[in-house]
Amino acid sequence: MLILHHVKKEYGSNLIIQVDQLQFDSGLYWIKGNNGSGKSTLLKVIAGMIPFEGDIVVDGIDLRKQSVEYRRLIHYIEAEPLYPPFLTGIDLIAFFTQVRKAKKDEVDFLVQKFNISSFITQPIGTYSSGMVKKLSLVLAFIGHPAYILLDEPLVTIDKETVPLLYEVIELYTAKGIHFLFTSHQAFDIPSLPHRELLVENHTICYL
Amino acid sequence: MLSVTKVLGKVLVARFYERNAGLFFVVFYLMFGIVESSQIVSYHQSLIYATLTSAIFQLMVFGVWLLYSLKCIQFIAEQLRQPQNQFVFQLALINHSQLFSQSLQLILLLHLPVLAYTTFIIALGFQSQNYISVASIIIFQAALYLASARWLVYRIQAQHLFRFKLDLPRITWKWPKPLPLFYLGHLTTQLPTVFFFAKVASLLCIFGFLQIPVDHYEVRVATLGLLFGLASHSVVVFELRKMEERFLLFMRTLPISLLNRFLYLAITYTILLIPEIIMLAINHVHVIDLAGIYLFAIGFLLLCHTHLLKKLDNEKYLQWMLGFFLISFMLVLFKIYWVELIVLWLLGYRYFKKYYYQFEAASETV
Repeated sequence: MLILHHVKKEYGSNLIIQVDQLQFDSGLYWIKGNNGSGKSTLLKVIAGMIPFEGDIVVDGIDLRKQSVEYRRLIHYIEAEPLYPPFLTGIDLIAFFTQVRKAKKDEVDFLVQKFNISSFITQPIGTYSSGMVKKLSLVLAFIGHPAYILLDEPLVTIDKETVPLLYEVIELYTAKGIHFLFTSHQAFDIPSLPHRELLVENHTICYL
Repeated sequence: MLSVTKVLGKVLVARFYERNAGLFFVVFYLMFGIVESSQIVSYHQSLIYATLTSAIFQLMVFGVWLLYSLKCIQFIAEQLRQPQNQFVFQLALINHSQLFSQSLQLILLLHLPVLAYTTFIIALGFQSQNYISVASIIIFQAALYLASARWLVYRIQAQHLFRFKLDLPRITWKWPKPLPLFYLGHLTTQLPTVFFFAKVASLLCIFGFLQIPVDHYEVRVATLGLLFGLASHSVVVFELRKMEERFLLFMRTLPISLLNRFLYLAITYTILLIPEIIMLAINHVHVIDLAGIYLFAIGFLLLCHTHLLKKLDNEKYLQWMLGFFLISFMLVLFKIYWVELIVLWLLGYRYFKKYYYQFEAASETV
């Protein structure tokens, strides 16, 4: 269970988002909202990437008090991730595998599934934005989180990869991993119902 | 050409002095405000004679001038990146010698405070017949101004777009890359020229100081040389912080403790400083001193790095660096660098702990 309590994020004096109380249980959550409404900021806040006021707890682990354990339970990928261009995909996959204590066969499965083995030996600087996105999706699934946060996961990936992503989400949901995602494109996995939330007027509510 | 000079004066020179009014006030106060008015002349005469007669003091003054010049260059580079100043690049259309002359005038205008004080140094140098010191000061300053003007011409003519690219030898690493190699790889692959020149400057500083004749073993000479070397790493540290904010944001989401993150950073700077330590070791610096100096140097760069977690602003960083360098210089001179060593590490970790997750870069800084 992921709980946000009195969470507030401002940039300077501009309020971006304020959440008094919000709870995510199991399953998929689609966070909707217009451009600039604060969806990505909310995900960054939950991922512990940017400073904010308030408290966030996942499965009893408080972001502020047990920072390392919390980060083990929350995975996040940005809409347009940037990685050091001189590193190879393999470098990053190996690093994430080591830090998140993941199993090699699970990682190999993801590499095969997203069909990235043909280019991950090359430096990331040579990748197209779609290839970087695929790599970032693999990185998001490495490890054993409670929640995976995906910011615009369908942006820049080709149409062949979309069903592959759905399959992996189904597989991970069966393992008890939950998802929060934003998307301006249709996101529909028939076998997995999702709940929708709307970010509007600096706050978020269930639809 | 008068109109060009006027425009450049308004765009760059006036703005430079406006923006640095605070710094000039502090320097002015340190130079003239802390001494009783009756002793100002003798105080400055002592300072100038020290510059003329002590090689170490002269090198320290050179270091300050070098930092000031770097600050000027950084300011110009930043201004030239601003969209409203793009018209300055039209100067590329005038002939090379005119452009060089304009650039040199601009550099001299930015260095007016240094030039004014140097005039007194040279006058006293001639009066006291310290001709060699006077010559070295003139040569050093001329080199600074000519190199700065040459750089400005290079920048305006956009030759940096076709710049000489230095390919350092690549080391093939078969195993998973540990985090320190992310930082070092960025320097060797993305910024090889900056990295190379910082290293060359650093090693030259140490080499230069080690040439100072001393009667007996004196660890301060080596430490002061290293301190100048560390100052030349200020750009490297800034670039690594920029890289963190641009390419390593994902690191914040990974389950790594703050202490481990700090230690990764310490290992990065430990590796980065290996050439300097080797140079000191082959010049017979005692092992215990070498260990102390190494820890001091790592702590110095760590504090620079963690200071940038508060604010990633190059101009403010260089101002802070100047003060930090001078304080460190005095502490080394008074043989209490080991106290600073402890403070550097503790303060570095404190800043890291406090600001690592608090920092949010303004997009234009990265």
